[in-house]
Amino acid sequence: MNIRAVILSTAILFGFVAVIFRLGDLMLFNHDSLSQKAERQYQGEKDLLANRGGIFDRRGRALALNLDVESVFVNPHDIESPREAAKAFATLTGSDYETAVKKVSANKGFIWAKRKIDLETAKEYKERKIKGLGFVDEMKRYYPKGTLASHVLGFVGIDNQALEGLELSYDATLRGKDETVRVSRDASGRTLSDGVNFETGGNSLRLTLDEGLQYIVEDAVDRAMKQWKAKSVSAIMMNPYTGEILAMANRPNYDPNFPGDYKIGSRRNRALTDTYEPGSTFKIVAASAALDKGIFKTSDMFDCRAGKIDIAGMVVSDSHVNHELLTFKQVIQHSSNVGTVMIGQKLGDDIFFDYAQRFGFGSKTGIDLPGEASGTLRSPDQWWGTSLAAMSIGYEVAVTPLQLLVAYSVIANGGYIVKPHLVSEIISPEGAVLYKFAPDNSARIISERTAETMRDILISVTHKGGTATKASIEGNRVAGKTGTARLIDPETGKYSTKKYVGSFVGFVPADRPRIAIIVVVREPEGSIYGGQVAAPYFKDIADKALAYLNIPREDTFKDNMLLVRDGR
Amino acid sequence: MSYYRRQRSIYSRLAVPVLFAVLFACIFGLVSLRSRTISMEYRIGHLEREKAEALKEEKTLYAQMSSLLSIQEVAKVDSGLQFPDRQRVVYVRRDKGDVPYKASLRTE
Repeated sequence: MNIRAVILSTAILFGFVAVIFRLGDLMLFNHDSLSQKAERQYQGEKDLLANRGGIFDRRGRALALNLDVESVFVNPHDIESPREAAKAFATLTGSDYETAVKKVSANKGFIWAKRKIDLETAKEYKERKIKGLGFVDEMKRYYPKGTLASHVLGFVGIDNQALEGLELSYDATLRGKDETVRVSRDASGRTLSDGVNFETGGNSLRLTLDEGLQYIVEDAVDRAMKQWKAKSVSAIMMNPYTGEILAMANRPNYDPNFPGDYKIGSRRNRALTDTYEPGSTFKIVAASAALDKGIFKTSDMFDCRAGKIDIAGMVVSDSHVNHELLTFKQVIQHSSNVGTVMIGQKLGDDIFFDYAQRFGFGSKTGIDLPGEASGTLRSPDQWWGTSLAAMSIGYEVAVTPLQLLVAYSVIANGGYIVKPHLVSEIISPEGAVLYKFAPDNSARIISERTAETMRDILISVTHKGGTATKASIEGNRVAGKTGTARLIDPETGKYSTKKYVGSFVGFVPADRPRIAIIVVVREPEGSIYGGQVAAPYFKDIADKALAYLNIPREDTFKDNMLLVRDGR
Repeated sequence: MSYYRRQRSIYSRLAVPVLFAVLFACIFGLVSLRSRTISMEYRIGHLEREKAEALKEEKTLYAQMSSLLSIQEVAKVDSGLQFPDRQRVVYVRRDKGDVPYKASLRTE
């Protein structure tokens, strides 16, 4: 055999043997470590930011959404052109060039330049390819309606942590969970498709709130605030049968997109956090208790001719009333303090306290918002000689506007206490309804007859001779009550002669109520009476809301009412 | 006899190249299939990135639309919303108990 052929054959044989050994080494002896190394190269992890669930009104209109944004950071160690980086930093932060130079030259590994800029701005900076400038994907909460319903919605912080309102009370539902998914990638880092769904998110909320009604209420409180130069104004609209909050607004208010630009006081939901002595609006407690217990009839007479009454040294007088003999009904219609004190005295401590508790005073309504105050209702063992008289006319008790509205809803709905709420449904990211609010109206607190009688009395308040003629609207009867109460002067610790709270609370249409509304004006200037400062805004809200809700006038002509049978 | 032997010898001679050809074809097919799969994954990955970008844009546009369609905005540009005069409204209700009225403006 040719010697060269033998050498070549031997070389090829050794070559093959070497390859086989190497293959054995790779596939048998080092298989585990090498396969792990390969996996590390070809498999990567991708962080999925959870979309915070949306918040929608009762008709599905968006009130809170998420936007994809990017945050820009600077890594001073990676900067190649300090001048260019400083210029970009200055533009992003709005600082001057010298400050920017100092910042980007700092001996730090990471500095935030600007959090949460929109994608287009981020793209502009990315295209400039400035070394040392980095970008991070983030989510930003966005409230498309601006200030509308800001106290209800609340807001989140820079890291999307819930801080106020529904955002806070439903944080666990809305938040969702950030996830990490494994993706395949090539040697250059490009990801391949693994068929993974790159969207993850929390559940959404459908509210009982209606954007249209909310606008009507917001517009009214805005004008009330301006007209009376008040310290604050609150208004709530609720379905008196179910406790669904249809609108809730306060002034001063804030834009939840920029909460830091406003004072803390502007961010407070005063409709349920601020308590006040309600004055005459509280008279329904004594009146309802007296009727429910059968202690008085509406025709019983009260001698209010003196215009005042002395209780344990405290003189209670009438301000609205001509001093005369009044029936039970007229006592409430004219808002006579003297007559109401007489009713209260006849009831006694225990019955009065029992009914005040039944109406929900002194305890939280249980609304699904954070920060609700329970108000103040002392038990009879903590009362003194004048307490019963004072409480009968709405002093020595503290209530929130929401508590008062719930109490008036009892009269509107025939005697049941309702639980106010804002969330009607919780909806999963896939669109499935996970929770639906079911009203529980099983707790009757006054008889239907008492509720009906009280409703008639409250209707008379808005008629001629009542204290709230300015709350009456054309076409539908209104039932309600005015309240004017003095505030404590913090300097003297006594009731102020200048600072008042004027309010009106009622429901409409009185015979078949669809909405209950409260308007509270704190420290108005120019007038103090609830019938002057709050009742006109009640009328304004009710008038527009009835039109918005397609509720016919009681005097609507028959040819304007079409009844369609079987949907034809 | 010799005819059959000759025939068998032709088949046996052809068998090896054919087997190699089939083997190479299979290997080529596998490599080609794998290569096409990877290429498809690149394309799908690219489309997914595009979809993600489109979704981001959709979210932004939806937010803009929600903001522009807010009643507050409409009231601003239209110098105040006018609520219908309820005396001129025709109310239509189905005969199904206590359900809300639908309404439209009555034309004179």
